[in-house]
Amino acid sequence: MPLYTGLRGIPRSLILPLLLVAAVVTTPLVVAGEPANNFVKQLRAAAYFDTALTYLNRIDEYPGVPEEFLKAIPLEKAQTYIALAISSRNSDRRNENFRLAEAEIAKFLKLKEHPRLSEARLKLGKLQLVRANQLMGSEPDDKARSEAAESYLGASKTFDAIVEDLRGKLKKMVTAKPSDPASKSRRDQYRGEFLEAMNSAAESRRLAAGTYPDPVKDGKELLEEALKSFTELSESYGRYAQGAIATLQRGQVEEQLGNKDKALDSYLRMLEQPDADALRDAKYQAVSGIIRLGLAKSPPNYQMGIDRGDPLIQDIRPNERTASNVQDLRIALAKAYLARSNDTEKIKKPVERKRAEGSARDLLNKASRIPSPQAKEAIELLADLGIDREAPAEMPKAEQPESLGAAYQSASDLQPAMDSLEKAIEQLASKPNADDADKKQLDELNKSLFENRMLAIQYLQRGLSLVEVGSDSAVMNQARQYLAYLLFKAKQYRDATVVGLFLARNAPGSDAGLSGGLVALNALQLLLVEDSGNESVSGQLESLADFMLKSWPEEEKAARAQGVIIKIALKDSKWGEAETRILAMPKGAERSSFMRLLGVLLWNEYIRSDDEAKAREYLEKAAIHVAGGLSAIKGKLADMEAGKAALVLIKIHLRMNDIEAASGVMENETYGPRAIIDRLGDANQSFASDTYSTELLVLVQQMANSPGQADALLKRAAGVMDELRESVTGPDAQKKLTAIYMRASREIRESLNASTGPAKQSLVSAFRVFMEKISENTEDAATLQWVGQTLMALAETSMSPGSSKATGNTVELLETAVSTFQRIKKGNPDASLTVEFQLAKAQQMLGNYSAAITEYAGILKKKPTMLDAQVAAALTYEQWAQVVPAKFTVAAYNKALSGGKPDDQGKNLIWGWGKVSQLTGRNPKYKDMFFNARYHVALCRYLSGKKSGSKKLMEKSKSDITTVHALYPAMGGEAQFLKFDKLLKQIEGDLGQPVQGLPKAAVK
Amino acid sequence: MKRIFSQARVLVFACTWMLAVPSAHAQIDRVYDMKGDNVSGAVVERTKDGVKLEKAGVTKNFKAGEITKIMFEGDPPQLTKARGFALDGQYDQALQELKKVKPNTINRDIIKEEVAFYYALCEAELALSGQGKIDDAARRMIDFAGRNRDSWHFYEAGKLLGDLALASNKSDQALKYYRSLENAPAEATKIQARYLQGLVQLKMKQGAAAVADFDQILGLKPQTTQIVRLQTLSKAGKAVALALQGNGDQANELTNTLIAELNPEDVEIAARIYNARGASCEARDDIEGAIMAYLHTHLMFSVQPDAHAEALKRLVELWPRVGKPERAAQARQELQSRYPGF
Repeated sequence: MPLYTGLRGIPRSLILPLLLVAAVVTTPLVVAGEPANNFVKQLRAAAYFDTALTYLNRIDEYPGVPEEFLKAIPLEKAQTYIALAISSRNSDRRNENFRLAEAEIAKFLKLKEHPRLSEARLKLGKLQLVRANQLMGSEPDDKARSEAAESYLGASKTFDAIVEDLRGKLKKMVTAKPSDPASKSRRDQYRGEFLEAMNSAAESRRLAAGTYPDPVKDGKELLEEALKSFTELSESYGRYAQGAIATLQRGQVEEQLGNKDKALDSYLRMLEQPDADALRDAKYQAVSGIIRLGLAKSPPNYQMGIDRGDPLIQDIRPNERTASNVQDLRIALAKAYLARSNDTEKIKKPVERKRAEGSARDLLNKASRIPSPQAKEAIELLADLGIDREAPAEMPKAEQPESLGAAYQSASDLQPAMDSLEKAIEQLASKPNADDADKKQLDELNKSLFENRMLAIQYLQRGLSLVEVGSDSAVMNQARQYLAYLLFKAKQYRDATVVGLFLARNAPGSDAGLSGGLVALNALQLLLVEDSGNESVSGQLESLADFMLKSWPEEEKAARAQGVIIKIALKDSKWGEAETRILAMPKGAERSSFMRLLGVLLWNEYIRSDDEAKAREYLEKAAIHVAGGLSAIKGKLADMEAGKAALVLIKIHLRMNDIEAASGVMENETYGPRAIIDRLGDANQSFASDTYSTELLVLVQQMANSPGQADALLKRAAGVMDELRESVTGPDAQKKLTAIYMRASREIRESLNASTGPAKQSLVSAFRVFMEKISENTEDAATLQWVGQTLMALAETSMSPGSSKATGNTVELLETAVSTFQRIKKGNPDASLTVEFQLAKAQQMLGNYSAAITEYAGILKKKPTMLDAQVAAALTYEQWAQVVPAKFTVAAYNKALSGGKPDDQGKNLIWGWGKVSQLTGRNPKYKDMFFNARYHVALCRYLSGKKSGSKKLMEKSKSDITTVHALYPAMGGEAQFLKFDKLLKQIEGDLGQPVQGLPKAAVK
Repeated sequence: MKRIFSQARVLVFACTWMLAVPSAHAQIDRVYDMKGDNVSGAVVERTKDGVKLEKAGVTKNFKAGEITKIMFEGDPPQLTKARGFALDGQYDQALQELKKVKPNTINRDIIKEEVAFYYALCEAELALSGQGKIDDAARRMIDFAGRNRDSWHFYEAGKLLGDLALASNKSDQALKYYRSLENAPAEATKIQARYLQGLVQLKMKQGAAAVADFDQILGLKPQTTQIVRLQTLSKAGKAVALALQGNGDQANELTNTLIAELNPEDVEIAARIYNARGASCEARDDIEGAIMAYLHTHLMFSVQPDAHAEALKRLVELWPRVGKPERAAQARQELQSRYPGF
């Protein structure tokens, strides 16, 4: 759906942000004197529009108002009228306010010079659009259509004028090269307005064409003009959001004009745009377009839409669930699934067709529940499936009570019925093998309970509305308490929160207040479960918990609030606050449990942290808290949670090179993980295996510390390995064991990374002995894999930073790893991809690039989407390109960029950096991979250009970096930013250009 | 020969120096003044008029009222944090830190005195912003002042006692406390004493007496930024006093000069100026203008609690007069929820 058609459906919620956006950019800063600008903004934010207008009329009574603001009074008034119009429910009043706004803008536009002139013109154009949209709103007659067309065309002319004006200004600015921040900011403002105006002009023409009963026939010229502008925008300004979105609009006009192949191409290109917030909505629309075009084919191509729509729909954010374009997408995707479910020719298995129908039903159910124009279509499609979607349950109507007391009585009378219904529901729900009749009965009971609750809620709400000065506060609080409880039971958590909070705040210290506070506390927690990122809810929860602790300090139930605050602080990574609160708790089991939790979370933070000093701090604090939390455990009360904390403490001690302490925790009879396994017997598998693998780590480090005891320790280690093998059972035992070995070797590598100098050397030596012994005594594939993996880890940690090819002792380690992996492969032709991947990696590190590429291609033939392998393969090509003879350099870098090793159908098995970046860019969880791939794209082009002397390639490499920067100014974090910046400077230097790098501001 | 002599001389000098400054070596306190400078040494004497700081045998006097804070050697870390919070206006957090201080671990009396003062100060400020009981806060402050007559915080305590008395409508008591500030050693504190007395007169609706107090301050030659600030506040006070006397036009003119030079970043001054503007408009029967003035305080300078509460109180009365009772209800709700004791 184009940018402005949304105004038709929900004008009041959308128009304001659209119209206000320009004002935010351009408002000047008031230094001294009357702060008029800020005050008007505040008045508008408080919805005191009339006062804002009065103030603007009386502005001459206030001294010190800047001249620029005084000249912009008509524009400020227009802004206020617009806000007033949007807030107005009466359509006549709304139109009148829009008219007044337009008149004020016209007045302002008479000025010849003012920095906000283009903002005003944009506003005017948008107002014309809004008015036209209103005329087209509900079944317009010919007269309305003609007036709307006139208004749309008027808007397009207004936007055209802005485009021409700003094009000239921007050209001048390019020549003048503004250097001061104000000019730069003005240039950015103009550029933003230029693109917006260009887009709006094209959109106005498209909408003007839509006023004809047959837009393609009668409005063809307008559509073609719009297409021309969208094409220019998408091709020349694709790196800006407006340009990227124009790719979608271009597709929509092409579709309207019947150029289906071109439209499909535009929609697909829209999907290839980076994963930026500003482009999400356009992508939803693009997929809807793809589905539409696919289903219009004969036979219908539904799979094309499903493949693209399904991942997108899984990724809908909570704030997008009710968006109009999301409903369009749900319905379009449901239609694609329905087409699949009806395709008996291609989809032979009935179960797959049934599954497709199920997916369609889910999507339609969701769309039908959102109040929107699309809900009707969703309900109709559901009806075609034989599903009679019930209209939302109507609220039963309660009679108006005479007083609060009577209302309370009426609500209480319903309580016995609600109690017995709840009991019956509980019994029926827990009935084994419930049949259809039971389910139907359950539905009826639920419905009846819902109705009773709603009636009781209504009685209480109406009763409370009768409260006046002098009403009995005890009765009022009792009624509120009951109401909060019922709302909570009815899962109306927001309302329950409001009532509960009111009660708590107004009756602090009392039982009713406590009960209200507890309801609100529980309701807020459940709201937070539904929407974990909601800061407003977590803020409310924290403040309520604090309040309850203060108001009912002696009450045990209120003390639960303390735990809630601590959990919130921990969830938000507010370690200091959590620590303070935990330490303030009275000594006991709860405090020590929280201390352990804090310690374990700090350990996780330590692992994640890139900042060495901070990481050290986390580690030290984690040690203190876990140790403190464990030491408080008395007798034999330690459970699995304590055991897991003890395992973390062992790992911390290992990191701190305190082997004795690590061993002490392992052997501890109260909370040592071994003692817990002995005591609990049926300890869960992951805990047992984690214990044995950690014990192995301890033993290895003990070997490094006490070479004299190597034999005894080795014997113990062999025993632990046996226990480890035995601890993992079940059909996937081998797979799990492999995963455990991998994790253990990763941790050994981290321990190695943490140690330096002779300690590291002796650790490596000890471990090599250990590995050799194990390897000699086993044919077990998982153990061999661990050996190979660990040798790889040793090799990686022994390589000097920045080097890609192994030398010296590392070569020996890698060659042993290669032979180990080959031994596994020989013994088991179906060895896991992990083994093959490790083998390829070892070959790569040895500089055997050809062998490595062959291995990677083999893996990718089996699993083309294995991203780690794709990245490693692209890197192998890149490293190879650095050592091939000069005449092959460009071709070799091309392989790194565009991939190689084509399959039977000519498609490259190895994607290369280009495709890796394209595919990872869509998913935020691959953010790091995406930026890394973009970096390598630029690097390969640069190195290729440099070696072949191609300035064009080097310029392209430069633009690779600046494009990423334009779309993602933060560039995925400071480390990535610095990497890109360094490369850019290098390129600029080599090109003989001033070395500027990326703008510094973006680092923030 | 020459080398031996010079080595011996260095040795003798080093020994003399080590013997001469044992006390400075043993204790390092740091005094921060109002200009933002700080000096370290040992606080060797304190009275209600200030402290003496000794460094390398030289003693320097610092007047109470010109000191921002003193960091004492041996301050518990919680006190350091609390002091920072309190000077930043975050009294709630400051109090939380102070509660963690273990008095039996403090060796110096002057540090114990600091803990007691900041405790009393935080409670007083919280009570003044409606988050605590004024009587309890006053009792604690009186207790502090009674036990620590030689504290350099003595006059600060007096000022806070005046504020608490004024907030609980005990104007006579407030006047008494504020008058006592005239004995303070710092010039700015003496002037502040006069300004505060002017505010009490305003509260007592004694317009003429208030004008007299403010005029005395306005007649002074401004020597420091503290005094200039007090003069600006006095002008705002005088505008209210003039409005009280029915001289709305004069008051309005005065607020105009203040608004022309307004620095919106000094929230206290800005809030008082717009409240004065509100009073002047009310005196001229310009209800619309008064509402707009109080709205400035309400919407932009609400972090100054007493002025914000005053503005809300006026808005509760004025909105219905322009036919907006629902906005009065909003203001009342905010007044009751934010300043329950007001």
